[in-house]
Amino acid sequence: MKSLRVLLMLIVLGALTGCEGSYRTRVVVGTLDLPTGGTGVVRISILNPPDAKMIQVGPTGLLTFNPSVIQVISLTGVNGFTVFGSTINNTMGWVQFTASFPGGSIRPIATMGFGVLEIPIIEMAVQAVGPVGASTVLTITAVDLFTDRVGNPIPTGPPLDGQVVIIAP
Amino acid sequence: MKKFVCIALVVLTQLITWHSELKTVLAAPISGEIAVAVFFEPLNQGQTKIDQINVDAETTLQLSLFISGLALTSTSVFSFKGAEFQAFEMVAGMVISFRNVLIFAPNILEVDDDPFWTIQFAQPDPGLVGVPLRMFIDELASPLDLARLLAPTVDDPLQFRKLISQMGINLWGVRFSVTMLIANLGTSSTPSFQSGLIFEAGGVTASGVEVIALTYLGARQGWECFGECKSLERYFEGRVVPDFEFQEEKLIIRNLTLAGVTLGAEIAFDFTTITLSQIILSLRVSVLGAVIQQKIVLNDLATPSFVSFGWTVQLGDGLFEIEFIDPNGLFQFPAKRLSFFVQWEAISFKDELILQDPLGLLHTMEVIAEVESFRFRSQTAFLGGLINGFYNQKVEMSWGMVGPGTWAWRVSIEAQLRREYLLYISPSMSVKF
Repeated sequence: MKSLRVLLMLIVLGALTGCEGSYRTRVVVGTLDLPTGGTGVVRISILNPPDAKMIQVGPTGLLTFNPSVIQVISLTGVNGFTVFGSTINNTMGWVQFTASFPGGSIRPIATMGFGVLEIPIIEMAVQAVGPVGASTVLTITAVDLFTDRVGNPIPTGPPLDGQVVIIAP
Repeated sequence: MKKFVCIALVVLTQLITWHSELKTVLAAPISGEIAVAVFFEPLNQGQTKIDQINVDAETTLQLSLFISGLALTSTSVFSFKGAEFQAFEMVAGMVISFRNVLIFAPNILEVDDDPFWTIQFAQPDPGLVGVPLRMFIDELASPLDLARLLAPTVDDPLQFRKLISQMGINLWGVRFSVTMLIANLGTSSTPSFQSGLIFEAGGVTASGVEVIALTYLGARQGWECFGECKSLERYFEGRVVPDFEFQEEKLIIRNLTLAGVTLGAEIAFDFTTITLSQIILSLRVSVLGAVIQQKIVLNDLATPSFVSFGWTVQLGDGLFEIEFIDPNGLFQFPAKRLSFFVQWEAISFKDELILQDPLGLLHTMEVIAEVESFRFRSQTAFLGGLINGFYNQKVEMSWGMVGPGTWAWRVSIEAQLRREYLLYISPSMSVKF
């Protein structure tokens, strides 16, 4: 009986610890339904951010999109983040950027009764140039640099894709 | 001109009130509290054998006088930079009640009442607008981060920053009150005064239903804080806005019980856009020992912006809660909160899981114990893993002593570990007299 309890405990512990692989920090690109010809904002967020302070996509990584569907207008930092540099290539359909939080870092907020685990850091203004029904996937191919408040690299899972769909106005 | 007359009238009223009450107050007994806290933070937050430290110290002094229906309180906050905050509060009255708060500080921050507590205005502003203040104040934050964020705003000397003047009267069971707000949003060399008025009428019916109506003129919902924005330095009466015009009308209904269902509603109408700006509906009902509660926040009559739905069940000593939350109001519930709370005499334990789609996970475990004058609290947080994504450990311990007479002493120590390094350690002491 005792060994059965130990076995059960080990199974529970195994199940609990096994969750970390899928639940770790992720960079999330948002989704947007955009009227044809209109402009809107796609949010880039951090999920489970353990004091994230600095992120860089480039020179290796790219945020890619289909330039015949949308054109990127600008990138703006939010929630304390500032975009210090960005390259927008609307011909090839990619964006690179570097952004950080000069006075602090972001992490989950846990005193509101439910908490906020996904914190937006960049708002990407886009304009629809494609026809109604067209869509483009927004993919971050690699995050080159992602560090916490003391400069340590934050291990992340693969970035989660976003999408923009062009709808009738 | 209208604004100048309004300010002059308020200042005159203040002077007359303070003058007439000063005579009564002199030679009265004083009570108060002094609290000193020191925060130590490793300079290099990493794994180093020998390190230097950052130090922040804060002293709070509260002095109170109570004389036959009149209470005067002075609150002062000091740091290494000197005085950072000074408030004088006077509460008086029997049939008609008065409350006046005069605030002096080097800075002023106006904060939105959104989930992130976004800073809307700051003076001085070294780039604070848009910063989520909640990130620097909540349970997982380091007090030194908040000090570091606001340090550039407390360089100026103390200056008049805000006056809150409230008058209330109860007539036939209905409470009427008016709140005058005057804020100095300018710099030390160029003051800029903005004023606002909030009218309130409310009461409780014989069946326990509470109804409150609020009218905002030159002011809106939200709050303001000063100095280092600690809890003593926050004022939730509302925030002033440019132009002395009608801004909002708010109706609050609480504890309306129909057929065993307790309902509540908060409805805000925005005069500037001539639309309903916010509707909050809540529901609470007990079914077979479980409490079911629901909350819906709508931007207008047809657009929900937040929905939550939860159950609370008491089983023996344990209290289970589960809540489904949709912060976007789309009824898709990407966030869930599961918690378990149990208390055995002086010891309580709380375990809480917050899940957010697609793969957000925060797990916290809290133990609180209070044995006679000894208090202990521990909170462990795991991020992105149930028990192996260690993120934060906070420990608080305090010990108190009473006497001689009305004196009371308490010494405390708190420390926070973040991942693999020490975030800060803080001894503190408070004395009540």
